[in-house]
Amino acid sequence: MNSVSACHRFDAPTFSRRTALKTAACGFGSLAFSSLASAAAAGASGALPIGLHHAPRARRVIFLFMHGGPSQVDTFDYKPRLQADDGKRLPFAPADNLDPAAASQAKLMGSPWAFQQHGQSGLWCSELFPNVAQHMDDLCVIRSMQSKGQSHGQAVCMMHTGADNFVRPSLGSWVSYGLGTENANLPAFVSISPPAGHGGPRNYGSAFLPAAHQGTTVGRSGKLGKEATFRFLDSGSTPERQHRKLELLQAMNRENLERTRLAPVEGMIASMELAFRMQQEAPEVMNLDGEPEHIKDLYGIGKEPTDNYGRQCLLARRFAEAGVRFIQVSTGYTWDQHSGLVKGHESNCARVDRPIAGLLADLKQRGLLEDTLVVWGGEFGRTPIVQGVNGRDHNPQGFTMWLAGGGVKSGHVHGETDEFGYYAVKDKVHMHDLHATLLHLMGIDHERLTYRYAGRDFRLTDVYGHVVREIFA
Amino acid sequence: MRSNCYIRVLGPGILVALLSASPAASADSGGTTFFENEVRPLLVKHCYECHSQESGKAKGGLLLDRREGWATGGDAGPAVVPGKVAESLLITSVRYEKADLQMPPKSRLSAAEVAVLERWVAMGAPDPRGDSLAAATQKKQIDFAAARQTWAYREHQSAPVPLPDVKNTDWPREEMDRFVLARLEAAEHQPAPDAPARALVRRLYYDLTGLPPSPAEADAFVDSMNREGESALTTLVDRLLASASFGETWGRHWLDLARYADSNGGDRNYTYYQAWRYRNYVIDAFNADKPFYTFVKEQLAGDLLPWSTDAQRREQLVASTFLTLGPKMLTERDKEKIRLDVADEQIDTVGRAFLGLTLGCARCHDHKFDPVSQQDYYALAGIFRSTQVVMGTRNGCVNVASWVELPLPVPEPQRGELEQQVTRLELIMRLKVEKDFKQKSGGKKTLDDLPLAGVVYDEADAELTGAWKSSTLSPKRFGETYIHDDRQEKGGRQALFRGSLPESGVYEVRVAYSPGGNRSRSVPVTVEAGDGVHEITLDQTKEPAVAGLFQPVGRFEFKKGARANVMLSNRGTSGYVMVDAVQFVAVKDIEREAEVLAMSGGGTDPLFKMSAGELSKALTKQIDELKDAELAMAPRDAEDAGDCHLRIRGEVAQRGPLVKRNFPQVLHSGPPPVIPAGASGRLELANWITGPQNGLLDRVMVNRLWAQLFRRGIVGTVDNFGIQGETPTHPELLEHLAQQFRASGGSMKALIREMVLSRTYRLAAAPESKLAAVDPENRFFGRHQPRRLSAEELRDSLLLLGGRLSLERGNATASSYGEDLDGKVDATKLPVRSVYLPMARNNLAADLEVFDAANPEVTVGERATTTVPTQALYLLNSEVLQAQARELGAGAYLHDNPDAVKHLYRSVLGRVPHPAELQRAVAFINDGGSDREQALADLAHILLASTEFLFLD
Repeated sequence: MNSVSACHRFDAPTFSRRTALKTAACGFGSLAFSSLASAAAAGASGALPIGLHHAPRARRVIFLFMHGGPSQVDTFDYKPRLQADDGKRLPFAPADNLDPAAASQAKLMGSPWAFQQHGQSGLWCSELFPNVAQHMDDLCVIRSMQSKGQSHGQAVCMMHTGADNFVRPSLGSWVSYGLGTENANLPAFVSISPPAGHGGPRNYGSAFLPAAHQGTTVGRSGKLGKEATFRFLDSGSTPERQHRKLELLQAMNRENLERTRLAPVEGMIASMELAFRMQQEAPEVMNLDGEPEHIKDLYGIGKEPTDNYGRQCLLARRFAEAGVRFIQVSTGYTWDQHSGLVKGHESNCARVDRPIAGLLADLKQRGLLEDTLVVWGGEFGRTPIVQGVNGRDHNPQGFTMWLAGGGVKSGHVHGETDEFGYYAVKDKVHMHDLHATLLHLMGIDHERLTYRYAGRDFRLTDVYGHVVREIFA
Repeated sequence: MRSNCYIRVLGPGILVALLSASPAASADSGGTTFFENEVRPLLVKHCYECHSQESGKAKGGLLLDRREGWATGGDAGPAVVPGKVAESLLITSVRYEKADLQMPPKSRLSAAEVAVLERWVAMGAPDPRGDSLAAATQKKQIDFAAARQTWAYREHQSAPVPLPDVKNTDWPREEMDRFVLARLEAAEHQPAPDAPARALVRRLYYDLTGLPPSPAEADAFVDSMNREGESALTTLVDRLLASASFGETWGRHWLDLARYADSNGGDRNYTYYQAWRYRNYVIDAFNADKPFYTFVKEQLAGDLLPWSTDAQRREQLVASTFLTLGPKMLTERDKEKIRLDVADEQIDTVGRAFLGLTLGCARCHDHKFDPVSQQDYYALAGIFRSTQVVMGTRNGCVNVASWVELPLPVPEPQRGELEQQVTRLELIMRLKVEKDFKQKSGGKKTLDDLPLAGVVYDEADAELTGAWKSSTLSPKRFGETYIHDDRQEKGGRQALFRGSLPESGVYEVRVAYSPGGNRSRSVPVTVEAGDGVHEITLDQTKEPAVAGLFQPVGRFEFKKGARANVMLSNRGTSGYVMVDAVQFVAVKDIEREAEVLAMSGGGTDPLFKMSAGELSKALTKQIDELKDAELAMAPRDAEDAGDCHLRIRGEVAQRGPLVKRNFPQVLHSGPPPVIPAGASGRLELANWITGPQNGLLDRVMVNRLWAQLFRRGIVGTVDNFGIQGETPTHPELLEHLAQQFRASGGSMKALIREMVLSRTYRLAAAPESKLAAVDPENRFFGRHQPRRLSAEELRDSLLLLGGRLSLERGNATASSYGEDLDGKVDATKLPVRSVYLPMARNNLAADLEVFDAANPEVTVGERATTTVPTQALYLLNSEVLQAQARELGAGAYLHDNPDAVKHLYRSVLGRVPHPAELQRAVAFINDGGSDREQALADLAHILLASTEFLFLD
């Protein structure tokens, strides 16, 4: 059934150092990870690591997921006409996904928040994001996003897996499969406080890709929790005692290998060593205590309402520094303001604005922003027409996401929605296109990153996806 | 589509409609000049990138670099109809009129550019470009006749496969051994020697029961093997095959294929409270050696099969749960899409599990590699679309679909009670929606809040005459606002609702208004229906009957697409005339609701007096009770069973021609089945798929059984017998086994028995043999291929050794959980065999997931075997494993040192330690400090985590 590359199959009894290396790292990038690591150590050698299709612009991604769908017309997509026509009827037909009551009246609702231009670029940002507004010159704002899925379940899966209805590997797992890890002691793909619903683990799952590529999680549903850690990481015994046990265990395993000559046995021996090291390194990465106060303060840690998301973002930076390829940081399912837009968006933004700005500033001051791609957005946006008296419905027809860092233009706007911020009309970027673009920035050709399953070569972008080269720096 | 004549061009899978009319257009020199100067540059600049031979792309099957390209058109039909601007899809798409057809896709053309194209079409679309379409396209037809002759798809041969001659006639034990040996001899290879009895007994126990032998059982077998030889083996095998654990182990293999789970996964991870019945059905089927063909037939059409006893009916209904187990997107708002997606999931699962065919690949186009056309796909889709799985609403939430559950036959009077319970639940759900609706005020009422939504028009949809006043004064209203006449201009104001109904039938027309003492008592309402014009008067001082807001004004016959107008006016009135909304509700829906009401005592039920909050609680309680009710998660034939339209590129909204329901042509050359009216065709499918002609069904199944025992299939790709799969290493053997299986009436147990008694099965691993070097993948089956324990085997063994495993049969495993299974299942607290753990989609028990248990969202015929650090972390740190180690350590504590070590080795690895091992282990314990019990537990932990324990020789 599955043509898992040889390293995952338990049918090759010959064994060698090479097999062990592959077994440990997994994916066709298995060799890439060692090449990358050595390339990184040797500085720019000019040679492309195996596993990459072209020179990468970003080595890692931090994806800030705003679960529920933030409103573009209240944040980054300023529409003077919408403000002017507040209360009037939308002059064209609304999309057919809407709540019928809202659709039948199709009444425009101006943004309750004031917009201002910021920085040299003069990019617009509403007063909901006063701290992120200070970084507008670092952002590449895509105002013409489109996606598939009118309900959260479909759209969240679409955003994470490229499919709104079928079980497919997640974006992070494709990256892990394609590039392997930069740090063998840590997973390649970490999802911090991932959503529990709307597909839940499917959104960081590996589906038919080897299980090694699924995201490792810390926390759940937007909450980090005090004791957040990877599972099975805590041995509950002293390092000395465990080391003693491991020594005897590995001696037995080596004898067993001698007798059976099985590659997977050799793989398990290597895996044990790796696990032991991971057990030492990962808790250090996840321990925020050692961070200086001014850094914690930058992220709003120790204060409300920013403490939780601040710690998530700081953790993301630490993972990025430690060599994790793909890091997702999710808010809870909080952005779905069918009603109570003013209160809801104000409270959501107050919780994430400072942490996000802090993350951007921190990455920048460490020089990490150059090769780290930060992605911000929700599964869809919201309608410029009102739902109820103070709400907006789902809008996958046109919404905003922004990128920053790793290989994209800064202080740049790509695409447009119509005058009311409803439909994307110019330089539309479908979610498939965004996926293709993210992979491209990481050095992967989305049409060539495939996996043979059930008689077919699957890819993240299915048969779709265009790389949006216009946003490349 | 303009024509019903289709040909296939542009490679496989792309259907293009032939233009029936000849596209003779004016090609005068003026027109040509216009084309060359204005149109061609536009096409080159904006369209050629995706629609020209030069770019190598013909998206949607459309080429725009030649006249014949746009005239023939792509998947959606001709792109240009000369002279007819409004009918030309090219113009529709550049105008961005339809959301799903906008070109160029990224950015709109300017108004001036659109005007150029419009003018060009209007003048008859002059186009001098003469290249032929055929020059740019290749025609590819699937050769079904040839495909039907290949090894995988051909029908069963009547002549038995001759047994091959072998030189070493002493070696074979079973007929199958001769095929294996013949091939080895032909290649001049020696088979490996037999495995030692101690290795063989562990292998047999795990393969047949999923558990290790106890040290005493292992010793006993080694003894009797030495004394009695072959007969000891037969005795053991028969005993293991007769144990309940056999079905629990082999049933689990089938459950992998059936993507068995106790929750939906998808967008809402709702608990499948009734799925466990199917799991037990599968286990029982293996234990009882249910004939494979019955097994398949019951899973495909159990709900439709005749029965003679209640027990049989129960079994068959439960079996058909197979079709309903897939993950579904229950919040999908497009009901046709969810229906086709569910059908797709079923086609994919049925195709791969039973036929090793990737039928799902043909949803959007002909299969790229295999002889499966898009027609084949939609011929099956007609059958599965006609099978109802998804229905109604879940948990009183209108936007979330539920699934079909059918009552199982139970003895009276239980039966009546159950039916009562189910209908009461439905009633509660409806009431809850209605009460919620009544409670909400302040402009929150929407369609979704109505118990029976029907088709509703708000006052904003009405054509108004005169100056109506908008108001929000009354909280009882539909939508944001309502309007009234302000008691002015009597006779001069009217509100006309122009309705449009989705299907013909009798509808109840209801008018919404907020009642009050100052309202008019005789508001004229005119209904223009299919059966004429009706005049009614409405008393708006009275409280409306439905939800306090909608008042029925009569029932009328309407025709789909014809007039369905309702007009209210203030003619001849004195009080206020209120206009809020008009609703059309199909009478058949109302009747159904009435039935439910009648069953509950026509409104006397105390339910009706409950508040919304109380109803919510009652609902939760009812669902709780129904968890254990006698229901099956079975499908049923849909009311509107019939053929399905082909969908162009798989897009739900893009309808192609109606495709007659049929079986895949590569396996079926006869006429399509005769399907009775109102039937889905599933019964016919089940009979056909298990029919004696279908060799593929047998080949796929015997190959699966073989692959479980010999670690790889005769066809290596067990789920794919197509072109992309592997060819059989022993084609005659495959054919022999398939014939034998068919002749035995599909006895899985008999075939498994023969396989484990074969010489081939009992071979040693022989890692140092010459054969291991030349045939590392064991394609010759000349030795035994070791394997890692499966996730279930590992977990069950750990619990067994720690003395914690319960061998009880599991029943309603998920009933103690809530409405969804997200994050609720803690496997460490459930000491049951793994097969009885609740299988939560998206939340598989960590113990299982880490060691590659099947992902229950997809059909899995061969599990992956990964090696990842998390497994090592699990072995080093998991609490489950450490707890069993402590138990084992405590058990060894009673013995003195060398014996304690021997005891642990025997318990875990089933053997005594070698002297060097013994010495080393004793030293380990002695160096472990004062806590001897801890040191013994540590040693037990090491043995449990060792690769010797983890792998099976």
